This record gives sequence, structure tokens and C-alpha cells, in this order.
Amino acid sequence: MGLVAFLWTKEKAMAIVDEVVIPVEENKVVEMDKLEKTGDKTLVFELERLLDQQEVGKWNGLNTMRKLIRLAVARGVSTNTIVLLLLLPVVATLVSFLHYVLGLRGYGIFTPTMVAVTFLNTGIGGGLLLFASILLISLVSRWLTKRLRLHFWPARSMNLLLISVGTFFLMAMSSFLGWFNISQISIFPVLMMIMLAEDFVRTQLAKSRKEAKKLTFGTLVLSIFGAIVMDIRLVQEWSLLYPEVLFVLVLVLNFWVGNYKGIRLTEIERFKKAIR
Amino acid sequence: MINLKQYRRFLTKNERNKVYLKKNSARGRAIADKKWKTKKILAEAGVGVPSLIRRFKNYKQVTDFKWEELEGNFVVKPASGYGGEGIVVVRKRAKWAGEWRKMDGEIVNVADLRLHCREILEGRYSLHGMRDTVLVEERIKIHPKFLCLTKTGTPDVRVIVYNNVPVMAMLRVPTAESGGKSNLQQGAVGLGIDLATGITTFGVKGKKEMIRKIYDYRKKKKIKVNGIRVPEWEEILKTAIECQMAISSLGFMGIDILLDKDKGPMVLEVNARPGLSIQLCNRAGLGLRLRRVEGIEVRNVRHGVKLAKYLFAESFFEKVEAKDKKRNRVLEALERVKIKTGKGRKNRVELRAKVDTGAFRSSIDEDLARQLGLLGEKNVLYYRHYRSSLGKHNDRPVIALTFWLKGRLIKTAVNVANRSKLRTKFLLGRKDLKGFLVKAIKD
Repeated sequence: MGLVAFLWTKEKAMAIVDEVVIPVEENKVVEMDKLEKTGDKTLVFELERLLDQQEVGKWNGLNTMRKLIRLAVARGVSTNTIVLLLLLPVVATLVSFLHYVLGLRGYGIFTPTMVAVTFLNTGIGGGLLLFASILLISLVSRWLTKRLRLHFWPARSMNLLLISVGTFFLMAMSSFLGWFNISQISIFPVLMMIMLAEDFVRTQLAKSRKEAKKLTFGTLVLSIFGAIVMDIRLVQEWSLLYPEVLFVLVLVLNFWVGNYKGIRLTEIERFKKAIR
Repeated sequence: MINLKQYRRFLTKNERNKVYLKKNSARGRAIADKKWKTKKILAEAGVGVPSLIRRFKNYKQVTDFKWEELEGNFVVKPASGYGGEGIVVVRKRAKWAGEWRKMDGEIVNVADLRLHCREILEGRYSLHGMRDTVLVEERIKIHPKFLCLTKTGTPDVRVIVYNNVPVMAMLRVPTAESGGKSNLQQGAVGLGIDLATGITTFGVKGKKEMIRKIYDYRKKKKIKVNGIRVPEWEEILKTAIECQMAISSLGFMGIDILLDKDKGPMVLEVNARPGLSIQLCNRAGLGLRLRRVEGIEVRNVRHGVKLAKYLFAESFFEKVEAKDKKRNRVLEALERVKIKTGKGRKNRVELRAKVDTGAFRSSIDEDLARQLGLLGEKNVLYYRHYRSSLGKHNDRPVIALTFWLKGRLIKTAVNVANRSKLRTKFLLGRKDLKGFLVKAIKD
């Protein structure tokens, strides 16, 4: 009996894995189809071609990273993933710069960084729509579950149920209506947006709605900045072609921001009133 | 183009976090986070703190405690709460045993308080939902000077002390918006205080909005934010310095001081990460002030107070000092007093009074009192048998009287005597000369 159950669950698990994998691949295929139809070449192929074009020469220590990237690509690692990985610290640096020098505030540093990657996947408009709807569902479900006086976690699980159903409808709808094309997104942007909405709800409970709004808005602004920077073709190409330069740049910038003791841009606005 | 140079005097968030919070060791921060620990250390050092009635570590102690024996005038609060959350202030007993009235008149009973304690113990009000302990302590009676400023909560004074010198201070007034809490973040009002005189200067509501007026509940209209004199200012500064000397592991700290009606300044809590909005309501830069007191060796508390006063006095400081001097407290043998005979400025009678330190109570001439209409049924407090120095014994009425001496309002009880044959119709006894000096020889 036990063995049967084990096999059954194993089969079940495989089914779940299948379910996750298939849409992602389909997604790529669809995208390629579409891009080919419009006569454009995919970014992925272009990046790979770029790699081919660049002369690396012999290994001399300084070009270790470039060598490794080529090796990885040759072994089948997606260039897209490599670019995203390399750009993650860049976005994080940007977020910390915006925080310490400009004074924009979000939920820590990782949430804005990750949401930026999400935006890259869904597009900024699509991502905002997704977030807005998830937040709306979260708030409505909180309002509903508050009346039931449940424990916190069961209430959150119910919230997740509503979000799942809501997001499903949203994706289905958008494919019909042709909005922002979020019918093809993978599960990760949805998860990321759920986490952000959860942060909102938690801050609203612990501090105030005003603070929650401020932080969420700040997170979105930071992520949009990050997404825009990541989306620049030149940045992507350079990160792949000159990863060492990227590293040095990130380190230098972080050293500078990390030692910055001066005024933040938003503080100028705040302290202006205190000048006699 | 913004002139960035003039922003250099402000303490920015980056600089606070990078430079000044480094002066606070982990040990110091641990003390500041736990109100109970702070209280213990400060009490040992002789700094005024609200006295502790009980501390509960678990729910059994809460149920075992005899709540009914509490008279009222107590506060139940979490030991590591933040932002003033979870504090229940009880004023007095209600009609039945085991029931009390809160500040807003609402009734709480033992069951309510037990439930509240349980919530505190379970960590509802602590920072990360961690288990907490409950403190039951004496309530601080709001100083009458501040009664008119707020209806909910108690105004307190936040003093920032660095290197044993008070560098900046503000009066924090809770508002309806802040829900009785005096944190600016939650919408309370902050009034900057001149360190030399203890007089308020500018005002800010919340973290950004500058205000010029604040509502006075007694006058039922808005009054200016500047010019409010914080009582016992010298004592407050002293308390703040003593506080830092007691917790020397906090080099840069914000101290929240409440003024008790009877007991004077009391330290409510210390803050290892004081906010920066204090610069707005003082319209002054904290950064510049901190740099100014850097490296000064403060010998004792009085030295610290003097330094703060001289270094950070506002420009009106001299004017106030001159005014204080003019209103001197030295009395000649004969002084002019103004007696209140009714409501308003018109109903005041000025007359000459003789200062007599040999008499305990002041006395007024019978005919004069009758003329002024002071012998009315309501005004006579009681009759008293007096023994005069000439050996005559008689019953004299004692009346309530309000008068001004050297600009100071004195409300007192005086006895009515026959002074028709004497030159001064009013005699000032030593009971009403509190705070004055009497000159023995005319120069």
C-alpha cells in the first residue's frame, strides 16, 4: 500500500513539475513566433551573436569572467539568465544609491530589486496591473476574513486562494482583451507581487496605512527605475561583454554610497522649512 | 540653485546613522530598549523615574496580583513597547470595587486589565511580536501648565544630550491625530525650546508640517506656538544630563522627560535613535551643535547645564533675562499690591501694604474690606479666634483674597482686622511672601 501511495504521489509530483515547465517553454515559443512574424530577431540570439563577435584572446587573469561566460553559454546556460544575474547587483546598487542619496524609500533593498526583475518579465504596465489587482484582492480578502475572526495564517491562506483565482481570471481576461499581455507570464512575478502586497498589508497593520502606501509606492518607483536600467540594450550588452568593468563599477559605487554622510535630496525639501 | 552650504548645519539621516549612532554601544541600546532596565539604572543613580508598582513576567503573576488594592493613578504598559503603543492610563477608582476610570472617563475593570496584560505578555505590542513583560507603575500627574495644551495624553520634553551637554530640546504635545501619543511620527506636535530660557520657539506637526498656532483648551482659541515657558527648566536640563551620566554607554541619546505636578521632572524613557524632526521645530541644525560640543570635558551636571545655556541660547535670551531681573523678588517694608474685587482688569484696587514677617497670615482692614465688597457671605471662609500682640482677643473673619504683588498672582486666605487707626490698611504676612526676599534696611 505504502509503495503504491509513494508511486502515486511521485507521479503526481511529476505532473506538477510538468505543469510548471510547459507554460514557460510555450511562452518562449510564442514569443519567438511573434518576434519572427514582426521580422525582428530575438534578444537572446543577438546577445549570443555579440559574444561570438567579441575577441577574448588567451586567458590572462583579467578576462576570467568572459572566458567563464563563454564556457557556460557553450554548455547551454541561457545568456538571458547570465545577463539578469550580472545585472542584479547593478540594480541593487541603483536602489541603494536612490535610497541614500535621493532619499527614496521602499521595503528594504531586495524587494525593489526583485520587483524590478519582475517588471522586466511582465513589462512595467503589466506588472503594475498585476500588482494593483493582487493588492486589491488582498485588501478585500482581509476585509472579509476580519469578520470571520480566524487565526492569522488560515486567513492568509484564504487570501492566497482569492489571489490565485483572481490572478487566473486576470490572465485569462487579458488574453481576451489584449491588455499588457500578461496572459503568458510565469509564476514568479505573481509570487513576487503577492509578497509585495503582503508587505503592504503587514505594514498597514503594524504601522499605518499612510506608511504602507508610502513604502509600497517607493518600492514601485525604485523597481521601475531598476527595470528601466535593466531594460537598456546597451547595459545588457556591456554587462555581458565587460563583466569585470561592471564588478569594479558596482564596488566603487557602493563604497561611495556606503560612506556618504551628506544630505539626501528629500531631506533638502524637509529642512528647507527649518532655515530662518 | 539651492545653496547647499546652509544645509550643512543639519544632522542628516546618513550622518546620524554613520557617525552618531556609533557612539551608542550594543549594551546601551539594550538598556534603552527595555524600559524596566532603564528605570532600574536611573533610579539607582538618583534620577527621578515613575515608581514601579509591579512587574509581571508571566500570566500567573497577573492573576495572583491583588488588583483591587490599587487606588488608581497607575499605568499598565509593555516593558519593550515602541511608539507608545499598549499603554493604559488609569486615573481613579470608579464606583464599584475592581473598576477604575481611565483618563478619558471610560471604565476599565480587573478583567480588562488582565486581558491587556496577557496581550502584552504574548507580545502584541513588542517590536517583533516577541514575548514581553508588563510594568505597572505610578501615573505621572500632568503639570497644570500643560493642561490647556492637550486633552489626550501628557506632553513631555524631549532633550537630546551628547557628550553630557544638552544640545536641543522640544516640547511634544499629543494630538487627537496621534491618539494621545507624543511621537511626531504619529502626528503629535513638537515645539522647539530655547535651551537658555525654556521658552518655546517654533512648532511642527508630524514630521513635515510647520505650524504657527496651537489650540489652547482653556482659552478655547488658538495661541501662538512661541512664548510658552516650560516650568522647572533648569531641573529638566539637570535631569537630562544626570540621565546620560548614568547610562554612559549611550553617547548620543534622546531623553523623554515628563513633568510631574508634585515631584518635578521624571524620565519616562531614553531613546538610542532620536528622530531628526526636532531640528524643524527649533529651526536650528543639530549637526552644527553636535560638532560644537564635541570633545568638551564636562566636569559635572551644573557645568553641562551652563554650557548648554551659553552655547545654544536664542537671541531673545538677553531680553528675557533682563525682564526676569526687573521683576525682582526683593521687597521693601512698604509695597504696592493690587487686590482683585471682581472679574476683569477694571475690578482691581491698588493700595499700599506693609510687609510684616512677624505675622503669619496677611490681614486687611475691616472697613476697607467692606468697601471693596469682600465681606460677602460667599467670601468668608470661617471665623477664627485671634490673639493679637496687644493682648486683645477677638473673633475675626478669614476671607479668600486674590492679589498681585510685584506682578505675581497670589491666591490666599487673609483675616479681617480693625486697622482703621493704622496707616497701611493691608498687612502682608509671611505666609504670602513665599519666594520673596525682604529687605531689612532701606538703602
